[in-house]
Amino acid sequence: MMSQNPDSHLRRPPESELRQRWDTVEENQLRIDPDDAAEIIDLLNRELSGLYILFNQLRKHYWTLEGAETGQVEATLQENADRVSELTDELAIRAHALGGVPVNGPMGVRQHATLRIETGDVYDLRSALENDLNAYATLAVQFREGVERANELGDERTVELLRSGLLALERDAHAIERYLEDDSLA
Amino acid sequence: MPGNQQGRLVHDLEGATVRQEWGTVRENPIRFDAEEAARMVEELNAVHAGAFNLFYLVRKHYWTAEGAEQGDVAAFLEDAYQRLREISDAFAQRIVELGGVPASTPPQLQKYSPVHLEAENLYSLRASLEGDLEAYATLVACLRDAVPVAKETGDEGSRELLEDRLKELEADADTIDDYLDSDTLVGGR
Repeated sequence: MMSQNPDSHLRRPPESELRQRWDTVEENQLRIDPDDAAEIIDLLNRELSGLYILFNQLRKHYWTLEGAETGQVEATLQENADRVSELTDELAIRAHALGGVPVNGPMGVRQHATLRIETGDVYDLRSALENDLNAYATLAVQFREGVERANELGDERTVELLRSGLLALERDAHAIERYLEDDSLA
Repeated sequence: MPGNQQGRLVHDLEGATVRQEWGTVRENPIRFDAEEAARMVEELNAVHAGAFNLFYLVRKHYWTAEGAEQGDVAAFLEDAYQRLREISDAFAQRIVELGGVPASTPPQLQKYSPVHLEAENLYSLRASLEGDLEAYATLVACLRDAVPVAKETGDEGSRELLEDRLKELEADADTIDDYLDSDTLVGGR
């Protein structure tokens, strides 16, 4: 049932099937200057790393919720995770269109990480939600920086994606904040 | 994280109270024998972690298919990865019902998962789907192995969950098999 060293067990299709190596940038069809594209891919990958960690953190929290009045919290966290997932797809597909390889595994997540991952223990609900809120706050700052930089580089589509993503993150953070303001929260 | 047992990214949550430690099984609300529950949790963590990894494989290939303008394949992979997330969620939640803790950190998930991740490069769509098909077969075998354990321990809830999800996984594996047999698949970036 258990595998051994995960490192040696990565699936590696033959070189003949390789289309693009991780951490490389190819020409794009969007007429965006290659240096600018590389910079935008880098910032998108930073967002993707953060979204990866937030997504799984939210999931861990709704998996392990228990007790009275957690039904609503569970639904909120699930909906938030849905939005993180949609946003991840949009940004990954954009990074790919720009000629990059989107973050798609643990190595990429680690390389670009601005967030940390909770241990596997189950924590009290208030601390868990506070950690979610912190992750949202970090991501919101990152997204704002991303909007600004993509704007300077004139990549309107990326600006648009990051802006609508930022709005969604802010709204979802607020939903969690409201639970934390509730004193009855265990 | 590959080659990184604890994973530098993994950290204790400061100031938090631990409600339950990873690796423990406590009395469960459904009054299922603790030892039997522990045995089932072990099995279900493999299923959960396997679905977790396959979710990431299939989603990565959805991005690849989208980039290669393989609309039909992309639409299917998008639905399939969402089903895998639900499967991973469902087993994680079942583990909690049994009094256990679902694997959640990268080292825990990689330790339990029978499905291996792919190197982080992009590969042709055909090679990607071949890998997916193999991974589905691995995950299906993992669920099948867990069914007799559920029967032995008298865990009807887990047995039903396993059998329902098996059907879903087999159907999606068949669809991928059909794509691989058809001529429509080009070698996408």
